[in-house]
Amino acid sequence: MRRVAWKALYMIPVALTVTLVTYLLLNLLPGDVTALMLGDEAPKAAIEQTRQALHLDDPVLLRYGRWLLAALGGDLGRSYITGQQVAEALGERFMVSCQLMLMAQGLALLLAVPTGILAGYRAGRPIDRLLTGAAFGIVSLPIFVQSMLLMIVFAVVLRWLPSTGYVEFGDDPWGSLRSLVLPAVAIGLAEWPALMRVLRSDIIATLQEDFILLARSKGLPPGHVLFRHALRPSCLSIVTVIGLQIAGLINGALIVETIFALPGLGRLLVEAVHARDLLIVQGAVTLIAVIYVVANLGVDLLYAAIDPRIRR
Amino acid sequence: MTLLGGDRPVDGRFPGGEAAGASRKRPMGWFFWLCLGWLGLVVAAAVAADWLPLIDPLATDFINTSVGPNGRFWFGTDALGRDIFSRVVFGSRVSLIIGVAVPAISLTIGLFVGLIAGYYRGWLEHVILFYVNVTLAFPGLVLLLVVLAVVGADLLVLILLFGIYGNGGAIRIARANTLTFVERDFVAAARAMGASDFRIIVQELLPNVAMPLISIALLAVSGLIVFEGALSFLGLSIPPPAPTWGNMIAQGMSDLTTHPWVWGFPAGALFLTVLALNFVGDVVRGRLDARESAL
Repeated sequence: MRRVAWKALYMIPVALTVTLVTYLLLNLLPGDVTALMLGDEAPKAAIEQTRQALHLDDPVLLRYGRWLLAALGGDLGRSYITGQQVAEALGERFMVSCQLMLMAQGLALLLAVPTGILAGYRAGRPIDRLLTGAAFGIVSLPIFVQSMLLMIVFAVVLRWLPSTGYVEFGDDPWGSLRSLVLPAVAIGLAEWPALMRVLRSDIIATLQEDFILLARSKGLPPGHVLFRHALRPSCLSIVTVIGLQIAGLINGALIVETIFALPGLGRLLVEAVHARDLLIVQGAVTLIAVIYVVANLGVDLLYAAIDPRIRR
Repeated sequence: MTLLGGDRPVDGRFPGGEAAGASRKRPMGWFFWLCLGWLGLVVAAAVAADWLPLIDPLATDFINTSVGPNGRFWFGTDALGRDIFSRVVFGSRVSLIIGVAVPAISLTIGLFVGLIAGYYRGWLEHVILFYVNVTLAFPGLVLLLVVLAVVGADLLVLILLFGIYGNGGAIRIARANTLTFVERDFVAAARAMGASDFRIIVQELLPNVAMPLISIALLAVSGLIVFEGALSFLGLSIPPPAPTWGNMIAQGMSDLTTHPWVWGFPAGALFLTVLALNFVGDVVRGRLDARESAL
């Protein structure tokens, strides 16, 4: 447990450095915020006044410090462009990304756990080769090509599901789930091979252990041995991969969000950089860094939950 | 041989008495040679594209717009009447250049930085690991967008950016391997004979630590080709009209079903290339790892 606590402490400066680097990086962007706010033909005095009001002429480190203090108190500021609270704008997009991530990751696990166990149990047999081959094919299919194929088959030809757009969960839960099925399948399928492969090799290793031999020699049925005895000790690698995938998905779903026109965090980030909506970008990067840290710690805590030996 | 290979199969290898080392003598399957052949064809076409009798990939032809595949336009033409076959051939260049140059840079940097971190330990190692953690927690997309806005999309800029930014994984692997090899007897022997740090790092550790990185190099190439495809698809790589597989596929999005050849052929080329790289890469990794585990 102490190791996990240490790592948590260690991750705080990492997250802070990410926000600092972002602040300095965004400072490099060409274009004047005041011109965007007031228009190109605004009188010089008005521009000057706005610059002073926003403290834009202060040194960049001073501005960062001010932003950081406010952010630690939970205030991420207001968008220069739309005037919306940054936290509010992030919250809306975060819900979409979260819903998409949960559906995709749930689907990936639903596929990966049975196939991983089966492939590990029947390693080298035809079913293992078939699954390994399928995993190879899907891993080699870039996600944007795969999304397009899914869209053609299920939205354009069969017309079962909407091709683009997002329906809010609060407005219409069923429609909301439907609007995310295709993107979630696209991401879930892309995540499946990695999950299946690590579970497969861990299962193969676990099945060589003495306690499995004991369980088998007691005459327990294979399904019981696999799910009740072999699965839990084989979960360490798959948990690591899930943690990495969750951290990557929050901003990595950009491609899928773009193809299916979903208002997620990835889209927000791109739109905000193009619009020079710097505080939104800063807030989004901070959120992503925090999620990365939390996902990492979650993995460590899960380790301890899975394998009691780690708790000491 | 069976000491390590027998009781725990290396990932991807089939168990059943067959030692990992034995696979070295087994002939490669036909699929391996097919993949290698395809890769050879793609590389040869990309290198020789200028001398091949191809239609100019940028030339528009407003009489033959969106024509299906035929004898003159093998892969058909796009909405501007540009020849898709020629664009697929020329488009492979960007994918291959980024796919080869970026891993070459990031694996080399990762190798040396990881070696130094693992050999000297101490505060230097902490600084390096801190850097790795920051790059892993930082959304690369923001970095890319800012660099594109400040410098513009240039092949060299993209290569340097990904090569320098994306080396966190390689540093981790190299450091972890260095930590295990430093403990080995041959390093102690070299040290006892009075070898300098530099000599130990370059002569003793480097060849051993480089091996696992070399074994994943081809997989890194395929990963980068997919990544570049995704960026082009989003319009964040080399700007049009220069053809890349990714921007050709994106262009086909507008008439997904009516003109499937516009995106189908570049998507097929991308898929086959990535599949071939993954397969060949997996075989290579299996063999290099087998050699290592037989040490």
